[in-house]
Amino acid sequence: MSDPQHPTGDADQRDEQVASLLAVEPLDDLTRRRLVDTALRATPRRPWARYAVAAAVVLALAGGGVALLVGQSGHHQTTTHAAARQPARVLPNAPNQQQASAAAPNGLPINLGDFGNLGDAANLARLRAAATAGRASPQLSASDLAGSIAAARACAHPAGPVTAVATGTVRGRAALVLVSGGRLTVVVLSPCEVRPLP
Amino acid sequence: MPEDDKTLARLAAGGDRRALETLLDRHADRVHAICRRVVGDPDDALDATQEAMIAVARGVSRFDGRSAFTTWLYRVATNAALDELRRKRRRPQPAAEVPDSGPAMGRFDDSVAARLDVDQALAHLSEDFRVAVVLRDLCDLDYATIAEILDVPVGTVRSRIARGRRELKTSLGNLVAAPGRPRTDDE
Repeated sequence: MSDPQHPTGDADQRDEQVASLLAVEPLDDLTRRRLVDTALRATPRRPWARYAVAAAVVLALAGGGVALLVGQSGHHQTTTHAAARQPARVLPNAPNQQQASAAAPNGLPINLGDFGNLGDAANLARLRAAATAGRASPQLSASDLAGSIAAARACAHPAGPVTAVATGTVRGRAALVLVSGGRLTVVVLSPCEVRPLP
Repeated sequence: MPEDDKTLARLAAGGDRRALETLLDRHADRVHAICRRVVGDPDDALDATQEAMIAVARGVSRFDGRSAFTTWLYRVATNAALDELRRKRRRPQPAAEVPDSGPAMGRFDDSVAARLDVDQALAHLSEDFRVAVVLRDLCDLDYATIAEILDVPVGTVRSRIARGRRELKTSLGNLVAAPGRPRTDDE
């Protein structure tokens, strides 16, 4: 089909007149910033989680059984000692071990969900509330959970069993929050870094 | 921070949030332009832009680098815009949103009216023609790239663009092609 406005030889060229008609004004800075920020916030799943899954398989095969045995035998003792060691990081209304265990079938920690920027006081408050209540979120799959925990354990070497985990960011870096013995420990995985909660 | 899109995309896929932010910020205007011209309504276009940028952020790890990043980006933006159109069709439309019978002749001396005319003229095009014309003349993509994005043969792209341009100009009263058309002071 021929185009009367364009000879055949020019048919593949850009039509500058149409292009000028279709031109759209650039977004204002505020709108652009909002679009970008919202898109960034909407990506709670961290790419490292996929790589951590592979690491988790290896770690689970190599040391999972041992870790489970240690966790079961020293469960009460280690959490008590850890809480006494670092009282400033103990949740004021932390769930007791029976509650956490009940919320974590098959010995796996529960996933509290993603809490965004952990430097934000409101997000932190939500995280603390979720940890206190032991509310599980379906946001991450079991494989993501296992991989994240394995990577975080390799980084932070928590003393006791991890009863719950959550995800978030610390200064724009992906982080995992480990809940162990009522304490919250923030672990930035890449590169490995353990940070106290503000 | 590296400048080229592919390097940024690779870093973003590896979890580099700054690289992802740079990519999103760099291409936000172009994504919005595609959505604006495909969707039509400015507010709906912003919704589509947001969906497209979220899709980019979530899916950047699936960008394999075999084609240009912009090719992948434009595909995501086009799909987001078409999805928004489908959602819009499912919503009840107030009578005021229905365009009138066609653009009036001789309104190009008013830039606002001209923009409205363009929106209405684009609204009269089928989605296939509209997307093809937008990708060619707004985004300046070549036919092969458009064919890749739309997953249709190059000949189909060529036909859609030719017919789309012709219908667009007919709808605008051929004033686009008129050499002596009135122009605004700021043109």
